[in-house]
Amino acid sequence: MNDASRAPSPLLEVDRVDFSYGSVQVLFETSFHVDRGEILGLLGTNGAGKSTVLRVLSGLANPSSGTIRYRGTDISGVPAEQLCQRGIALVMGGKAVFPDLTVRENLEMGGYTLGAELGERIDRELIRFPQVARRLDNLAGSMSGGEQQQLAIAKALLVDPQVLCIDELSLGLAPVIVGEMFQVVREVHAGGTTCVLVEQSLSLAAELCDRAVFLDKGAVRFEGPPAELLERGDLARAVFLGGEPMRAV
Amino acid sequence: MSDLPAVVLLGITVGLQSALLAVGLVLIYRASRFINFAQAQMGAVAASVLAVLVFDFDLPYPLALVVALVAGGLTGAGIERLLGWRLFDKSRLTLLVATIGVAQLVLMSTIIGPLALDQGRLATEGYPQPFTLSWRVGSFVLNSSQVTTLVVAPLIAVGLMMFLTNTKTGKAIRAAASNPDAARLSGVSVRKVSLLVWVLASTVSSLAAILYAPSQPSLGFAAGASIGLLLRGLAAALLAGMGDFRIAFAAGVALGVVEQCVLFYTDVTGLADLSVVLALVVGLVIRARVLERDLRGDEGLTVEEPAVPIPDRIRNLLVVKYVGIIGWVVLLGLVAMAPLFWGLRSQERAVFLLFMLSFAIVGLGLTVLLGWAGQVSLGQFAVLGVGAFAAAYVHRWELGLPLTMLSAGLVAALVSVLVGAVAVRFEGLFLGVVTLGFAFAARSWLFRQSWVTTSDTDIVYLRDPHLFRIQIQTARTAYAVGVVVLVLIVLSLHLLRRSSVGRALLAVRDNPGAAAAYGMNPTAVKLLALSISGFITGLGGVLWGMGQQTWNFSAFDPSMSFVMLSIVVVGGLGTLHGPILGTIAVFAWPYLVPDANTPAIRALTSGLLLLITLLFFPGGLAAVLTKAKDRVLNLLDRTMPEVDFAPVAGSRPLEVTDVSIAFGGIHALDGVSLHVEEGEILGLIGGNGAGKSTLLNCISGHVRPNAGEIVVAGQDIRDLSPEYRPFLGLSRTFQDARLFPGLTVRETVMLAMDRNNRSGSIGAMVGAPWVRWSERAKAVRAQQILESFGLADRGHSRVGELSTGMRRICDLATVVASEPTIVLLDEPTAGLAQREVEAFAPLLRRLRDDYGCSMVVVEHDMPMLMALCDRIYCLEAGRVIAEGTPDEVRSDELVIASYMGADLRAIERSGRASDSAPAGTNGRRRPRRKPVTARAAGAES
Repeated sequence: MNDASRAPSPLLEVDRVDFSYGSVQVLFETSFHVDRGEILGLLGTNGAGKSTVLRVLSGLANPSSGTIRYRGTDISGVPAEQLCQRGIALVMGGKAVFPDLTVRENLEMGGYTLGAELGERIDRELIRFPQVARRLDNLAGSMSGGEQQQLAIAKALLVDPQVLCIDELSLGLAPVIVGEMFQVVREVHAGGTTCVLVEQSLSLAAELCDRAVFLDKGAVRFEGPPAELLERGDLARAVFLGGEPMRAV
Repeated sequence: MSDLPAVVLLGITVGLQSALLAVGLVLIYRASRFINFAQAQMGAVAASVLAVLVFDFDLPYPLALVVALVAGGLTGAGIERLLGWRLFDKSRLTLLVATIGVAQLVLMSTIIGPLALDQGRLATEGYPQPFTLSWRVGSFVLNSSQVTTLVVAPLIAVGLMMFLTNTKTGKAIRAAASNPDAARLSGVSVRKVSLLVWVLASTVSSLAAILYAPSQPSLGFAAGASIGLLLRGLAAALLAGMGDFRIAFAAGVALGVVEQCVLFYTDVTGLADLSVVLALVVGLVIRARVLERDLRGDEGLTVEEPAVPIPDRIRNLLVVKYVGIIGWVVLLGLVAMAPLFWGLRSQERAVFLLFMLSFAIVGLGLTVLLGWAGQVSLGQFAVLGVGAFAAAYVHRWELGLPLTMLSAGLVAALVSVLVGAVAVRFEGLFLGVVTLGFAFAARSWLFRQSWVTTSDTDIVYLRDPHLFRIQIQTARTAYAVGVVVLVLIVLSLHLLRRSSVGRALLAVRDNPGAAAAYGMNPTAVKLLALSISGFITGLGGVLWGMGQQTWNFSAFDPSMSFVMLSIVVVGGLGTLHGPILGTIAVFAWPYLVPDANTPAIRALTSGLLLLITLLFFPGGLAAVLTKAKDRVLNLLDRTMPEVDFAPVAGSRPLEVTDVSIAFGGIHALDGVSLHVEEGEILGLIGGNGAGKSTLLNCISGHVRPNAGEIVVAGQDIRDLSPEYRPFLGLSRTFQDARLFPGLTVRETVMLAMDRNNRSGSIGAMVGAPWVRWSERAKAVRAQQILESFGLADRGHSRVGELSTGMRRICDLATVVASEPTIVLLDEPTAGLAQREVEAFAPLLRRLRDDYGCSMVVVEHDMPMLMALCDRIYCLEAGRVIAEGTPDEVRSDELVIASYMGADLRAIERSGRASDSAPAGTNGRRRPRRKPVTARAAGAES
């Protein structure tokens, strides 16, 4: 972790972060960084702390020690409702929408911090996600998992985030939809947004990500190109044994 | 039926208020996921403010209304901040109970202080209204506030609905309720939203209260009335599954209509109120699936304080072992003596004391139900009522008190189970709601039915019941009976908690799924808890009835059930002393201080104490006591010397290094060092004043040396007081062998065993089986020891009757019974007849061989000592002048010169021994060994 060797400084830096749920410690001096403009894959076994890292990054959870720097400033302890205005967006895995609100209301809530441009932005996202546009007046809770995921990403993109964190992008989605989602992420990334993706599947991550961080039991075990990670039999096995078998690519 | 339109209209006006309450309840439930029991009370502040401003400050109505509504909103904000301050991470049940405390405090603020209304003026002038008009419908006249309600309430509801669906803030509120984390990620401050929701709900409640007040004879927010209101709101909210505002509003209105119709077209007492409770139950049942979804399995109220381990080295101390029993004796002693205290001696106070006793018993019932089984009940006072009415019912047949109590307990248990069965599938919140509904229905319906009161009037009697043909006429006698009942309940619950039933209750509370996997049926266990607590509460009801003697339904204000809950929370949930302490804390002021029994003081002591406990001492008084105890024990631990009680393996039994002690300038011991090997018998000789006994006293801790080190079994024990030294296996006899003249020989031996296995006093007093088992085991062992010492036939003799020799042998038997590793014997043969002396040496050797202990023997009888010891130390003027085998010491020049008077024969001439066995010159090397052994053998045979 030699900072001097990495000029310019990374967009996001997680520095020796500890986190506990009550008496259960989940993160142990977790350190890694996110470079400007990259797609970073956050990989690891079940319960490795991947989702927790995202919760801490987005301000939903406060680290018990350690710091998180965003564009060089310390943001550890800044609550989520303020961080979202600074350009960090999180799509929570499987529970990112407001089930009791209509799709339109969901989008309005997604752009809660926006002003007059809200309507325009909603229209923009509805063009990107035509399936969502067809369900505008339905309750979000009544939509299928794939539609909810699209709505969740649409909601997050409304505010043009600097960093888009997505937890379990592919979880429970049909392969076709996963492909569509990947396409969306590539588009967004091409537009200059830095992406942090939590993934269970190593092969999917290798397909999409520029760089991978492998977490195991709350600590970083690997940081580097995804292809290199795939060659590391030990880490790949950990995922095999912990999660579902990898699909053939 | 010509009245029907009017009745319906009236029903709508009444229902509109429940509807507004229901909307407020749903609003807060959606945002915070718990039921706000202060919902009805929150509006009372605004209602009082309005009246005070108009009456006392002559403010124009519109202005006063605005100020009142602001005050109402602020009340909500204050409550939200208070709960969010320290309770944000607590279970929903804790928050619910906290709102009960809040409700009582709000109630208090409208009774005393600047918001207290002049009830007389209220009665003559009526509650302020913006204008006066009346509307005649059929034979009914609607007053202006009712008309206003008809117009304003729907407007409020529609406005609120539009606010929530159409405004950005309204959507944020709904979004935060739907998915708080996602709302935060969108930039919504959930905390601000929560505050806003409370302000809104409180303002709505305030409006409802202001609209409703003119129709009430007095300001309708006194404790009892507000619970009726709350339940109407709750019924409507539950019918809407605590979800849809529109359904909740409609259900509230419909409920009002149904209630008014029942009121006008039937003549069964209390049927209208019963219909409210039935609606509540129907709501729960039909919405069960939706409501269960919200259950999160964290419905506990019990606070698990981490147990501070008692440091090992003080665990066996008498005072530590007995601290619990001492506490109980003090507490129950105080309770039993209460009627004798100054100021409490009158019969009137005795009645109040009797009430407190019955409340403590209700609290014990709640300990089982809530503390152990985790099932909240907000209707325990009504269960007490069931017990009381049942007692009055059977009292007519003069059954006597025990049978009366039994039947009252059984009836209360049955009712408790029946009520609980409705809601037992739910946890926490909703069982609380159902039991509160029962409390309400009991007062307004059940306790007024003629088949309950068995008379035309609603009054029942429980006067002068018999106990074993003795009439209990005074409250003080009844109190004495009550104390006995209390003690019996405490004892049986103590046993219950340690039985399989107790384990099952806690297991089901903590993890019903896992408990089922162990073969327990969670529902059956919960019903068992309900029946046990119901039975106990029923017994409390009999005592209450004995204090009251004559009563009717009006005594059973449902809010008293909240107070019962306060008792256990304040006292400490799950403990047996908690309810007793809690009763004292909550009721000592209102009940025991003359003229203090006012609603305001009762609300203050129960509500404020409840809140303070939840906010600052979640474990209640019991936890405070436990903390204090832990602190004292730790202090004890710190002030005690740093000695580990466990003997260090492989170390010498005794090692004394450079021990010195001076008495007034005379060096009794001056740098004495000695050691004892395992299994060794060490002799200590020396003239009078040489320091032999002083050394023993230093080792046993009866005298503290000025310098030097005493190590027993590897532990430095210089700073350890004598009572702890036995725990290292150190045992001693005294020169006088006085022992305990009042105890029998067997008791003395058993006393020595008690160190390792002491029975508790209470257990001993009631002859608990484990005490009997351990006593029996000790008796058997004592008998074995007595037999091996030839004392079997003297077991029942008092020690004081024994001869000196027998006492010495008894002393030895006692030493053996304490299972020592090293024994200090101070002149064991002093005062013995020669034959007895001769028997002693082999006895000591056998003791050493059989029990593997080492010994230090101080003796004047040289032949005996020479024959007995492996090594001998000779002391003179506090110094060791010689050390070695008996032969070496005997031939040591210094010993001979300075102690024995230069002539070896002096050593060999031991008073009584010399006349029977004169020294011979051939015995220069081992002169007396053989003869002594021979004599000893002879004495033994």
